[in-house]
Amino acid sequence: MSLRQAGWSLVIAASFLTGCATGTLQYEQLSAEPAVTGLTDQVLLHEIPFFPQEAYQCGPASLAMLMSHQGKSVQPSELVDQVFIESRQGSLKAEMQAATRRQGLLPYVHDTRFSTLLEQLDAGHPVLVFQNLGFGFYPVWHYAVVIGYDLNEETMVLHSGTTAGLERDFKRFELEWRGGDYWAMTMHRPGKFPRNAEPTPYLEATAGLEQAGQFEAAALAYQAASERWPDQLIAWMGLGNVRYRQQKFEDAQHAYQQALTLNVDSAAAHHNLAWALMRQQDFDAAYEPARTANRLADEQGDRYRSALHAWLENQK
Amino acid sequence: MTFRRASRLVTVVSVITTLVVGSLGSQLAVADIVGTEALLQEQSGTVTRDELQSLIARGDVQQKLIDYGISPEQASERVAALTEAELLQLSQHIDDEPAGGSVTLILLIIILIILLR
Repeated sequence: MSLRQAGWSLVIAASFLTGCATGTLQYEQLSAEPAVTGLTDQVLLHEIPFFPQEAYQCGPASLAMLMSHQGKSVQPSELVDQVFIESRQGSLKAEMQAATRRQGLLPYVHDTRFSTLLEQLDAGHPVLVFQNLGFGFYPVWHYAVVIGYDLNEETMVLHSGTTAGLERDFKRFELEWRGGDYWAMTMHRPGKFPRNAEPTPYLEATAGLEQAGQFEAAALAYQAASERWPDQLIAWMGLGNVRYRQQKFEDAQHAYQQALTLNVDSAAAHHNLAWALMRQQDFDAAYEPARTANRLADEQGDRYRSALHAWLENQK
Repeated sequence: MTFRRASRLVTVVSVITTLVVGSLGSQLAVADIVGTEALLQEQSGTVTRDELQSLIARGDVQQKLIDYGISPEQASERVAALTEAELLQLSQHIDDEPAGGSVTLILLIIILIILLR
């Protein structure tokens, strides 16, 4: 087989991978989805600033657009050292989230539905998407910011690479987005929510802020979560843990007590409450919760025995 | 390879030392509260990792970033903003994780032009 033939085979194979063998795409069924019928026909978020990417740095550029929209004055060049890996010529998704946390903003990764993407835009949230602009066998990974859609024209509008307001028809957009496993992320000021936020991913995202040492941001988000989902024990536990790490042990105590009002059999709430009391040198008050946590540990795990151990150590 | 393993060991040991010596709230050095990520893992039924596993994963990812050419100071700051779940994922699969960056299809087009000439 000559090189020329090999080349044409490659073109045919490539067109097969992208054009023909597509399977069912979500956009074809969009109009039938109840979530979509309530949406504005046409959305364009004019206010999202555009930063053209340099070299392979679509990651930093896309992040800067979303962060600026959230009121942070950040240039792409400042984010290069936080997310870019020169030798990989790109940025990892986990680090895109990490850089968002470092700004005190909450990264929310969405489910993989096309309709979810449209809902977020309808609610005014630009969406960071991960795409494969190449082929399955020759991927070209890319980040872009979706800033609008038109249901009648079936087009998406993106800030992508060096182009502001790039238009893509639904089909091509979805093929590229599907290549990136439909990964989509929005970012929010702590205490704000994406549309149709779910408690577990929201609390996980908040725990990420806590882990990254963004304590005030995490506290705001836990507080908002506890108001939005009043039966979520972990929102109160998270708030307590943040205050504990800030060494505000009395505030931590109150949050753990709130958690106990939601579930009096939570080993975690008794256990961490005992610790917050011991840190305030209140060993008398700490005994009951420490003992209860130790009892509940039979069912809920040995990790909840440490408070009683510490209490007994102190008595020696 | 011996050098790399040795330097990785140094990273892990230094991370452990920093945590043990430096941090009052360190969950590894002293018993303490159960963290929020652990509670969420417990709730979702995923296997909970112990602190030592997370610590080793952190050291691994940090070393990997240094191997990629990132300065040790920046690598340390970057891993500090990752969650335990992300660290565990990256410590096992960082080389396979896709990195988004490319601006165009130029490279692919060049290959095709060469082949079709």
